[in-house]
Amino acid sequence: MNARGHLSSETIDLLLLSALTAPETNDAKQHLDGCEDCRTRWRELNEDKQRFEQFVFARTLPKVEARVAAERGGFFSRFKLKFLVPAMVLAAAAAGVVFTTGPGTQTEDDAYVGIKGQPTFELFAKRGQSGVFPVGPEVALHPGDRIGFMVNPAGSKYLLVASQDGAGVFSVYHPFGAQVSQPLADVKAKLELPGSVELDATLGSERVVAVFSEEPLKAGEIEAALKASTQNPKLPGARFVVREFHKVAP
Amino acid sequence: MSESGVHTSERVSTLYRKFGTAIYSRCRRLLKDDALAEDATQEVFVRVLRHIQSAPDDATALAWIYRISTNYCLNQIRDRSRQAEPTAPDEMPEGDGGEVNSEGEMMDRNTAMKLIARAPEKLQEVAVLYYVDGLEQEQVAKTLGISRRTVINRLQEFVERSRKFISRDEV
Repeated sequence: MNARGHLSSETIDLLLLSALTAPETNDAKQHLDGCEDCRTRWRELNEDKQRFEQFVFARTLPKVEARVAAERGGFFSRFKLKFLVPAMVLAAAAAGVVFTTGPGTQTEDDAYVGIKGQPTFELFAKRGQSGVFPVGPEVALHPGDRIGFMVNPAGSKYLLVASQDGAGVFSVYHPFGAQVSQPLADVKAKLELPGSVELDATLGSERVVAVFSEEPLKAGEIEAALKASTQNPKLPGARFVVREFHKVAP
Repeated sequence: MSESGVHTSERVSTLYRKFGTAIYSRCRRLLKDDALAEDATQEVFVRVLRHIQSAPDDATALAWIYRISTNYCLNQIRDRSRQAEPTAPDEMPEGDGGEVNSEGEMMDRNTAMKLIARAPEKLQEVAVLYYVDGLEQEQVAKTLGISRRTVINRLQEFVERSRKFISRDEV
């Protein structure tokens, strides 16, 4: 219940999703019993659920799937990614990547998300001849999958993407093998980084980090910061966005 | 379709079924038009998909849904209002339905929406989340990625503008 004596939309939506804890569910149901306003909203939401599931879902799902497929298919082609230079395959072999955890990056259609000032870092993967899909916590990647990167520098001028695997091996993915971060072509737009990494046969987890800065930073300094703390690396002038990955056998 | 393609399609379908109601209901409430809400649901879902796939829990996924659907629907409302005829005085919100009480709280969600539609863009999403969704200031701040102080300031500005608007209408 909020300070104004009603259930918030969030609480009502979570109740419908059965995502509240048992005590929260009891509290919410108890409130619904005694509050006409909230009961009305709960009833409306359930009516919308029925309407959505009976009519809207079936009518719109094909369009949604087509849109999603088109957007994913366009990811790698837009970047003109040239999958795998042999050297990158070897580097990835030394790294072993795969699936992300943690809260989602703050990208997306920026006009609707409305965030400014936060650099973002997203990963996408491509498996065989199938389409491109975003790498999320529930997605396990396989050896041979290829991963690509998308960033929004939010004004930062320099970028370096690196990884540190479970054994602590540090590799620079972008610019591949660089000793220092490189200037970005456009500091205000979302960028799809050229190139991609093909995952090797090593299974396990590792972290990939995008390091944004106003001045060029040395890869060695970034490596030291990651070794000091992979969860919360710190380096003067650097803004880190960390992703964790796991790779499993198909 | 490849095995991976099937897997992706199933995942999209599952997520759409799970979160579609929240998006659809919200769009329907903000746009007050079933056909527009149906279109908006697809658009918002495609935009929010990446976030809900990587969200650690349903509450985080809902925060993204609120943020993106609010902005999308407000844009639609603005587009419609640009094309619409000017509102006649007798279509303005009534003072009794849109009263702002001593705590600065709008008591009627429908009236709040009418006032929100007339507020400057920067105040709209904060006002929707606070007055229409009933989120706390802290939750609004977290959802929009802004400070609580900014939320308070924008709500105050919205309330002041609404008071002027209502009193002018009453005159």
